[in-house]
Parts: sequence; structure tokens; C-alpha cells
Amino acid sequence: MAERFMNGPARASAPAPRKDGARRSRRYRHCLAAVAILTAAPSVAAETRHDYTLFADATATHRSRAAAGGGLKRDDFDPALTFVYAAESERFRFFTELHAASGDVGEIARLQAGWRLDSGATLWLGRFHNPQGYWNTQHHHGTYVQTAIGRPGIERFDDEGGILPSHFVGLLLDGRRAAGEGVVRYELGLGQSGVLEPSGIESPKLFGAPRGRRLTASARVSYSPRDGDPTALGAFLGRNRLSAEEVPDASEVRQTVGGIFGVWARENLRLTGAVFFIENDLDNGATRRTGRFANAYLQAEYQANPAWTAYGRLEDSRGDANDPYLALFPRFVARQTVAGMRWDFARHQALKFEYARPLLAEGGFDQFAIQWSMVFP
Amino acid sequence: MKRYARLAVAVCLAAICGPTAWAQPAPERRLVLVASADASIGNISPAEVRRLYLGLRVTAADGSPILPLVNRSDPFLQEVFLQKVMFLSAPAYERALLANLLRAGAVRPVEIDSRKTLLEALRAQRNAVTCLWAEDAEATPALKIVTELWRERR
Repeated sequence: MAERFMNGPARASAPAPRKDGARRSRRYRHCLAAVAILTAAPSVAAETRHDYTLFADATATHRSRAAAGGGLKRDDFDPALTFVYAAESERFRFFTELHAASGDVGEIARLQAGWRLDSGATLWLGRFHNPQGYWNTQHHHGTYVQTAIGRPGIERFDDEGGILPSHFVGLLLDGRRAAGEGVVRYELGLGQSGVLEPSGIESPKLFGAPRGRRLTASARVSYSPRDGDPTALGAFLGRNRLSAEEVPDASEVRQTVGGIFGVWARENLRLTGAVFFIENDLDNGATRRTGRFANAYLQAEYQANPAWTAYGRLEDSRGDANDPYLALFPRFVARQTVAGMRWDFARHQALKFEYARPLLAEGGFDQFAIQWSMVFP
Repeated sequence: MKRYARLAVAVCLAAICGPTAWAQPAPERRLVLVASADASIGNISPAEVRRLYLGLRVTAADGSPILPLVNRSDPFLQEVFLQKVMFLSAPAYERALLANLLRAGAVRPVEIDSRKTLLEALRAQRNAVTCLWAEDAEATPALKIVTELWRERR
């Protein structure tokens, strides 16, 4: 959640106040609409099964200095709530994830209606997290589920200052097939991506007039040796087009994202890593500027006993200095060192203590964070 | 005197017969998956049981979904189920369920604390399944054993 502090102010400071108010109002109307839909969903079929859960967290952060043009404060406090609801009947499925945080962050992160094609595959329509990468489509907004407080810089959500369009509105084919003792999972997404503004990527909205109307397409496949085993190896490939009419010297961004990820878990040790290869084309109609860079992270976790887990993470980038697209994201964390402890002090509640040294384009700083997180029920 | 003689005979008999009786093995513990007798659930593999209890869809012979019920009325049974069938610790199992809910919208299995309620739910829902000790399953009318999940090794 620390990354939210690092990037949040950029999103809040960019638009005019009147626009902010209108957006806030629209967000809450959309949340209310989602609640109305999900409460109606169980009546679709008599034998509907449903489930819900509530994630809550609160994070306090201290930085050694304010960074990125004063947009990042030295001390910050950020509470957040995420409500998840799922329902399924014989064929019909429904899922939503509503997320609210301080700093005017309230959104329908995901709202999906699906039709089960067979016992392993579902075709969904709605708003999704883009399956380009690992972290966002594994932990989503469930802070309690992830061991660390913050997520890697490359995996930050677009509406929290991330550089990849992490939401889209459209279709998603989500499935799994048995492969011996193991299982192959796949996700194929196609839809409308966000819009690039001077302050960052604006996620596509489910309701209201669409902006930009550019396509995003994604494919992700992974293999796990056994159901329930977190060990997995996978690859992803995506192509994004972002309208950038309000960005100086650009009218459109064309982005190709590819990479691999892996999780290795044995007894008390878990390693999670991903490698991204990204190519960005900024086109203003007359000229085209291209940049390519690679980013990787590796997180190691050691569970000393059922209550205490130590973790550390390294993030690094290559070729990022000359990418014209990255120049639009001064708070992109290209390199970072993270060390922390997680204390599961009660059932469904955890305290995390984390030190991080993120390196931004303008330099690095030290960051200390403490987070309480829980899930109910 | 006669009383002492009777007591001595009783002690001797106990000494002769006792060890034989003590040496008899206790009934072998078996964990089984059960459903109501009229359920259309055929053979189900260990991988399918794991999938089912991770909130993922597994269908019966007639194509209808199988409904997993978690038996929390017996902590030892639950421990054996997690360790020997799911190959997960209790916290890891909870995390896996949350991950599947978050990732795939997978509805978590219903947990039932009372054995009476569990059996009522089994009888009420045709394709519901749960885990029981084999001797309990065999002693309960209107249930059938779908598959053996684990057998205690001696």
C-alpha cells in the first residue's frame, strides 16, 4: 500500500477541483449501482451460491524526505477498504471488487458478469484487471493476502500512478485445464484501455461516456504442478493502445508488454519473481518516438513460524533512462530494495513492518511503513 | 478362603486373556467422502476432491455441480483432511481459498460446525459431499461412501 502514497498525490493534484468533484460523485454513483446489481444477482437463479469478503487495511508511512516535486509527503496515513462479492449458478456467474481508499480513491475495480462455457472456462463481460504481469491478477486489492505492504513499481495499478494500463472494459475468457496432476490456467482479454493524461493513466470507466476508445489485448498462461499449490510458472503478452491527446508531443501510445513470472514455494520458503519487456511508441501524427526497457523483481519470503514471516524484494530496470514514455512518469520506481516482517498476530489479521529504498528518476529516499490488514470473514 | 481362591483364578484368567485382548488392533481409521444415498456422484479422483475444496467447479455424473461441505465438527478430522488430502496447512488452505475467490471469483465451500446440521445439509442437497470417518459413515443411514480419501497406516 506504500506505493499508493508515493503515487496518489499525482493523481489528485492533476485535474481541476471541479472535475475532481464530478469524478468523485460519479464514482460513488457507480459504487451504488454495483451494490444494487450485486444484491439483485443472487435472485437470478434459485440455486445460486454466493460468497463475500471484506478486506481492510491502514498504513502509516514515513519518508526520509519529500520527493517528486513535493507531491510525496514525508508522513502519510492511508486507510483502505475492499469488498469482494461472487455469485454463481448453473451457468451464470457474477463478480465484483469495490475499492475505496483515502485521497479520493473510490472505484469499481472489477465488475464482471460471466457465462460458464464448461466446468473449466468462463466468458466474462465487464471491467477487469489486465492480465499483464503477475501481482495484480493474483492479489488484486486484497492487501491482507500479499505478504508485503507495497507492490513492485512495475505492478502498480494505473489509477495509483502505475505505468501499465491495469484495467480494461471488455471481454475476458478465463479457464483452466488439467494437465496430468497439474493444471494449466489461461486468461485472454480484449477491450477498451485507459487514456493517458499528463498526470498518468486514467482507467476506463464502466459507466458514462467512453473516452479514448483504444483497444487492449492480453494473454496469460500459467502452469501449476497441483491445484492449491502456489508454485507456478507462466508467461504473458499484451498490446495496449492509449489515447494521449492531452499529453504534449503525443496523440497516441502503442505499448507491447511481454514477460514471464514464477512462484516457487516449499515448506517455509517462497520465491516470487517476474520479468517484463516493454516497448513504447509515442506517436504525435508527425513523429514517432520509441523506447524499450526491461524490468524485473524477485521477492523472497521465509516463514519462521506460523506467526512471523520475513521478506525481502529487489527490483531493477534496464534501458529505462531513455524511454520517452517513462519520462512521463517521474514517480515510476525503476529500482527498489525492500525488507520487512509480517506478523499474523490473530486469525485473519496481520501487522507488517517494512523498510524500502525506492529509486525514482530524481533520486532515492528511505521509506518506513507499518500496516495493519485484515479480512472478514 | 474361597473368596481368595476365586480372586486368584480371576487374576490368572485376566493375566492369560488380557494380553490377547490388548493385542487386538484398534479399528483402522479411514477418512471417506460421503454423499446422500440418492446422489448422482460417481467416481471422483483425489485431484477433483482438491479442486472441489478449493472452491473450483466439479460436476456429478448428471452434469450438475457438486457442493462441498467442510466438516468442522471434528478438529482432528479437519486436520487430517487438510494434511493428507489437501496437502496444505490450515493458514495455507485459507490463503488458497481467498486467492481463488479474488482471482477467479471461486465461491468458498460452506463450513458447518455441527455434525447434526452437516448430515441434514447432506440429505437436503442431492449432490452435496463432505468428509466423515468411515465408521461414522457406515453407521449413518441414507449416506453412501463416494471414495476413500485416506487410510491410517500402521
